[in-house]
Amino acid sequence: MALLLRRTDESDLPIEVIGVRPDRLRGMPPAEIGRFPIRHGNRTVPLAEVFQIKGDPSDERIDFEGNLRNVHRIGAQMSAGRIVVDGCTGWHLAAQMSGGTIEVSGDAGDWVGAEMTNGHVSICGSVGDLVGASYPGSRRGMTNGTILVGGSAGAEIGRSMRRGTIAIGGACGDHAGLGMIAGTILVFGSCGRYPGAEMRRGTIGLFGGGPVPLLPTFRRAGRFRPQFLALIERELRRTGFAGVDWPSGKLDLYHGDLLSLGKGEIWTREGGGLA
Amino acid sequence: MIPIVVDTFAEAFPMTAARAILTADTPAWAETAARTMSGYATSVIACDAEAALERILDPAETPDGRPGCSVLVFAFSRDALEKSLTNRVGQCVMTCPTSACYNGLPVAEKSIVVGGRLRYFGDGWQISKWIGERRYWRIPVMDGEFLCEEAFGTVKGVAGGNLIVMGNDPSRTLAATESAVQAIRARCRDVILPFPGGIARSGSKVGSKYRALRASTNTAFAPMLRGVVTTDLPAEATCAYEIVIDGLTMEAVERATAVGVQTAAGQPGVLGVTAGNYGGNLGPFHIRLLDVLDRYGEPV
Amino acid sequence: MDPSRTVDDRRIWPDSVCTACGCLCDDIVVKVKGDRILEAQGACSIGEGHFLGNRRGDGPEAWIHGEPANFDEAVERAAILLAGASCPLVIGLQECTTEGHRAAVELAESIGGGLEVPGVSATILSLQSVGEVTCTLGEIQNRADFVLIWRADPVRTHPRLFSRHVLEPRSDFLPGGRNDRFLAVVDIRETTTLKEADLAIPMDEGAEVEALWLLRALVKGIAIEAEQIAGVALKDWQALVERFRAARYGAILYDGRSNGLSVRGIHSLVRELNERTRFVVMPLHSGGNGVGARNVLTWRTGLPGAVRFVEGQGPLSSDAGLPSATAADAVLVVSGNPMVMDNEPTTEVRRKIPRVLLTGNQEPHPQAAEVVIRTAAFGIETSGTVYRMDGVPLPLRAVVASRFPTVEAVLRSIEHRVRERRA
Repeated sequence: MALLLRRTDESDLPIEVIGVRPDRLRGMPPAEIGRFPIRHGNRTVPLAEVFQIKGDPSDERIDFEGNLRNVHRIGAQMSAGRIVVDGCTGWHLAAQMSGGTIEVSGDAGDWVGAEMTNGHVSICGSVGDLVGASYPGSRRGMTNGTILVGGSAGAEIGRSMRRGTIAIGGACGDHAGLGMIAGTILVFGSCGRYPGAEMRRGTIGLFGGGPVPLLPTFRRAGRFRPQFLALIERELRRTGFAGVDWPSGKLDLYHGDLLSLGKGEIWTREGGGLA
Repeated sequence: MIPIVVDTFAEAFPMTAARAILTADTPAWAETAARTMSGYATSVIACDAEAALERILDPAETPDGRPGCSVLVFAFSRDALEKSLTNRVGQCVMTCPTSACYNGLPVAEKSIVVGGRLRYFGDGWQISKWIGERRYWRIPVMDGEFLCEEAFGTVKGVAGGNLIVMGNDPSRTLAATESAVQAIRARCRDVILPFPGGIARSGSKVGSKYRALRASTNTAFAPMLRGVVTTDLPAEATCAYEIVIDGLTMEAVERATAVGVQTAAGQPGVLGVTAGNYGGNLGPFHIRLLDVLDRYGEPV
Repeated sequence: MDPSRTVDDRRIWPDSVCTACGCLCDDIVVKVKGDRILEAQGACSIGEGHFLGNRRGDGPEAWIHGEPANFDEAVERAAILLAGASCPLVIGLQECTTEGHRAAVELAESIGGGLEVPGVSATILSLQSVGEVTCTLGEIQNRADFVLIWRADPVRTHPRLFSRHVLEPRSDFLPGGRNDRFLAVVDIRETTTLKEADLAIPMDEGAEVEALWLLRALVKGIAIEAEQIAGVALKDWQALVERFRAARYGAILYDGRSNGLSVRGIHSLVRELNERTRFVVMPLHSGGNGVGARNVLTWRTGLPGAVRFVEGQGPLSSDAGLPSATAADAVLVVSGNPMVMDNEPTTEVRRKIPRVLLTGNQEPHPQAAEVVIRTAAFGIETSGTVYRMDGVPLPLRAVVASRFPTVEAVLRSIEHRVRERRA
């Protein structure tokens, strides 16, 4: 039986549920879970002050319900288990997580999966900026794992990511894959300006069709049908990333960013090159 | 005359095995890759590995959805297998137009590195991709890129399973043995028949009068030596063919043996079906023909 | 020590610092009669307006809900509001001495709140990701034989920058002054500065990043296939790069309000240029003391742009923290323009949040906030330390007395009341 946390009030003040994760709460007696300290504004309060608590996390599953837009850091640093969110969450969802799965039925804020090292995150709605990104001053964003977003995403997704996969069903904002070290970003909607700026290695697939505003430090290689994409498609379908239009024909390949190593690649639909 | 299944056993031994899934844009090129990479791989007596096409795969069965083939490769140790598979994939699959090469066994601790070695052919332009739990290397080549999985799972397989078909008319004996090969290939998974067309005509025994040789002709089944050496051939037999079976599991080899024996024994001109063994000294696995027929043979 | 002297009925302040722009010219001679400034000798037109526009503030010292109130009532009210909040935010801080900044950090800590200096995040982020090769204006003055102004119009916004620091001064290294220096200007429109350039490159609007990436590529010797980038022929960009290469000491100055990738691009370009020759970069900041705020925040908390204090925790970064814009339940706007928050998309949300405003404005709007407390005008009625845009601290002296307390004093009073209420 899962642990159910239902938020009942409507206040807009930030709530940070640091440590409220299946691997941490499993085996904790109910009273102790109720006393578990979380942050509410500038105060530390017991979990039970903000959430109605039902069930127990013995099966390593936590369900969140209610108004969660200002509930931040859900699943942050989680290493195992499963979190299911019915609704929309705040910032830092799955940040620095190292394992387990998180599913969100609605939207999520900025920093989804920032600096995560492994695990699987899927969000049905849209997300904010800096998905899988590095925090300021940090050298690396996500180093492994998968982030699947059904809706659209904001700016600087995958900033300095080192490995792992980000797939966005809708559009994404500017600077996707900024300073990317390696890994895979796939965007099925339109894409903002300067994707792949300063990327070293890695793959950015921009499959929304239409022109893509590439920097002058990207060079076109030609039109190909990449085998590896079929494997990624199969894997993402297996993990439930559905409803997107996978490109079936040939794709245009661009190499860059020549300013930083230049071993990155951007794939666009046929004729989707420079804007 | 009813052909006799001799109450004897085939003597098999353990070998490390891997499975390569080869795909290409067309079934023909996939098969070309498979046949080329399993060339010169009949017997570890003198080859670095034993390998053969296991099965033609439907596009739906392959990792990238293209036509494909699976190839099983057997060698005496994981190190030897790694070396052999890397060489074979590198020289025979990577070179083959439109091909890609994937691992066809679960990857556990006991895996070998293939793509992870071939990647250096990319001269620094190779690209690694982790997809799911597996790592792939993309190596730039002249028709695009060669995709090869980093690591291949291995199992302890069984090699040297065999049966010998004996008859009095060479062409009918060969036809009977061919039927057995066809039946095994059609009905059995996880096994390969590494000899030409699945058949060895120069079956061997362990040892030789010459010290340098580890094996020499199986005199007991060489009909022209009847009278000068002890023979295992029936009195009228003038011809014998051997099918050697390597499999991923003991059961797979036993099943294939049963199918082969049963099919061959039902063919005209077959005087007897037996198996090669070396007095139990060569390998730890004994496959008794009557026993496997009993267990896996189809009711007549 | 009071450096002023009195001639007849006039008080003369030598070497006064002008806070009207980021140059912080410290050679202004201000002549004062009573509480009126008569003359600001040496000041540019902006500086003159800054000094001569100062008027003694009339009317109440504070308002609560638009009603006049005395200072103590207003401080008490502000303390109640801020101490009672679960998520208070202190914002503004540009028009404030570093002494005021310190008081603001301490207040934020005592109320468990956030502290934000608006409008500097792009510079900080690029500093944190690619670094900053920089120097003081004095070094540019003495050494820079090549200056690139990137999308800024200092002739208009920092009128004395060229004459005092960047272009005209003669030095041992550049005895010819302006003649020994090369000025390149890149901008998207015809600016006054562009007209002064030895090499002027007017480029297309919105193509800054492409242009910077192109320049970086050319500097690194990477071949670019396009004939034209950002509306400028490739050969013109190449001419600029030749100038980069010819420079013995180059300086790139850009608008401190720039954001996004262009700041990162400029800082990276300068770093890459240093592989060949000496190059520095400097953002041209506007007036006030935003640079001081960053410095104080960094030395007090380790975090330059935004910070928040949470019970039982050290200062936490809020650059990557929480959406503070929507999260606050009380806001203290420190000195200056209450509109600092109105250029953000979250205005509507923020308007509903109770606010306390500290302002040195001579005619503040009584209903600009729930509590409005008047302070001495920054730069004229306040003494303390201010930071020039190159990070050099300068002493600021009040040249006229004020009826109102300084920002620092108000913040300390509020903090005192907060502590009293807690005890």
